[in-house]
Amino acid sequence: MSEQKFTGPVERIDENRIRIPKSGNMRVDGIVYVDETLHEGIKDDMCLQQVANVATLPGILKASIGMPDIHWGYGFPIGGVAAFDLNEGVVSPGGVGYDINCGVRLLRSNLTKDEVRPELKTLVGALFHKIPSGVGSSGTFPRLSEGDYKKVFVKGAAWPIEHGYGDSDDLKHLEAEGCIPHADPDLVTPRAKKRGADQLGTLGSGNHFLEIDYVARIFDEDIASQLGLFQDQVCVTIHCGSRGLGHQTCEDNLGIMLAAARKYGINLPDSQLCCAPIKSNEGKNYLSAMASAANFAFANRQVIAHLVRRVFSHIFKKSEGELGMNVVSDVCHNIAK
Amino acid sequence: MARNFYQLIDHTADIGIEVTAHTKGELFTKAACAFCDLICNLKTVRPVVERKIAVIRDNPAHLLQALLNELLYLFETKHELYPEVVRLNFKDNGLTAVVRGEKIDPARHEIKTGIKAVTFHQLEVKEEGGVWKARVIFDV
Repeated sequence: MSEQKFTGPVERIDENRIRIPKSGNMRVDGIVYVDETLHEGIKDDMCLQQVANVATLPGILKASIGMPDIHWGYGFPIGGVAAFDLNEGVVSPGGVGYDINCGVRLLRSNLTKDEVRPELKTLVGALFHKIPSGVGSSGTFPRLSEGDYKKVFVKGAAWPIEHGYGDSDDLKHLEAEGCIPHADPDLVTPRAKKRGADQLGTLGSGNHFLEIDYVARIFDEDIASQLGLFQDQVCVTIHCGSRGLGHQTCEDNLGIMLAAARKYGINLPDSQLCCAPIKSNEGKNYLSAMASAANFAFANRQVIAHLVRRVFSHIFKKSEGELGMNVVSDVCHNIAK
Repeated sequence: MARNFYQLIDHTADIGIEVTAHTKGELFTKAACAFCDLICNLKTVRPVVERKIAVIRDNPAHLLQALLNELLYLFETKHELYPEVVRLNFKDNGLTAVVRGEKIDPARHEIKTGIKAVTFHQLEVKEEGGVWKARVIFDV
């Protein structure tokens, strides 16, 4: 499909940025953070066209932006960022993405790579067993009831902590303290809840992962020290999101937004960019459903993090306190705020 | 169904299909089978469970997306795949279908691709000179 690559003008701003000047229906410029090498790598795919498409959406402010990890997505490019005026702007479920609040959590530990390496095979086996991954995987966390769902949608990561999955100190290190406001559980459909009912504490498939890492190099001793990081220290990275529940929430709202875009006279260069004004009922309802799914994702990473701690505690015969597997950060990358 | 009944689309991080057919019904049937084949080898899935599907949308492309999305929903919630479309009827703004397949058993079925969503990105269903064509991109 290389015939659909971007053929419009591109200007280099500086060593690390290019600009797609505003033209046609674009309301703002496109700005992409790529050097020459990265730019060469994306010339033949469609992501620059997608940056230009996002620039046509009503109420977009300043620029349609692409991060250095930019590549071909659907609707928005992967790595796409856009800000919209609260009065004139739109919200797009396709822009947020299917995996609402997909994010990355980093756990530290007091262990070094030399301590962990002899146990690596046992450790990986136990992690695979306790934290299911792959297509349609079901978790060991009890299946969620309707009442559970209402709490997890409103409380986010705090809800599993109330049930013994972690410590309230964890919340201080999560984006938004693990809870997006204005969630409305009634706006998540029964279909979405059915897809997510047994998926809390599961990684899922695709590019999601749980990784045992070690600190190979320290660039700033002071910051590393403040974050509790040191040379050769073992850490764990968790990358996942809201699983089938988030995907279905996106899907449910795409149908609504396709109709809304027609209703509000929004011209779409790609149906996946379907959207509605932020202040419309469709826009507000999506944001409340999205917040519910985002909070489910925070809870999912919280459950997984705690299962990781339990596995490490069992294998290394140390208490969770001795292991020091605290959260360093938890940041989402599929979200609207 | 012959193995080469659809074309794979090369997409940076995702996967897509292109299907051609002589009729709209054949097009939708092939696309449903291609969806199943992306996830698991069609030959290994037996037609032992029958399900009825009904979806409503106001244009052919969105109707195909909705049909495939319904198959994905059934796969995620019932863990079933359906390589056979035994009946397909188009109605005003929608369709009904009867599909046959079975519950996926990890001991017998190898999952090839984890499809997470059926996207609207570059979604297309069109008829040109008596040939029906469809393109669908999946989030994987």
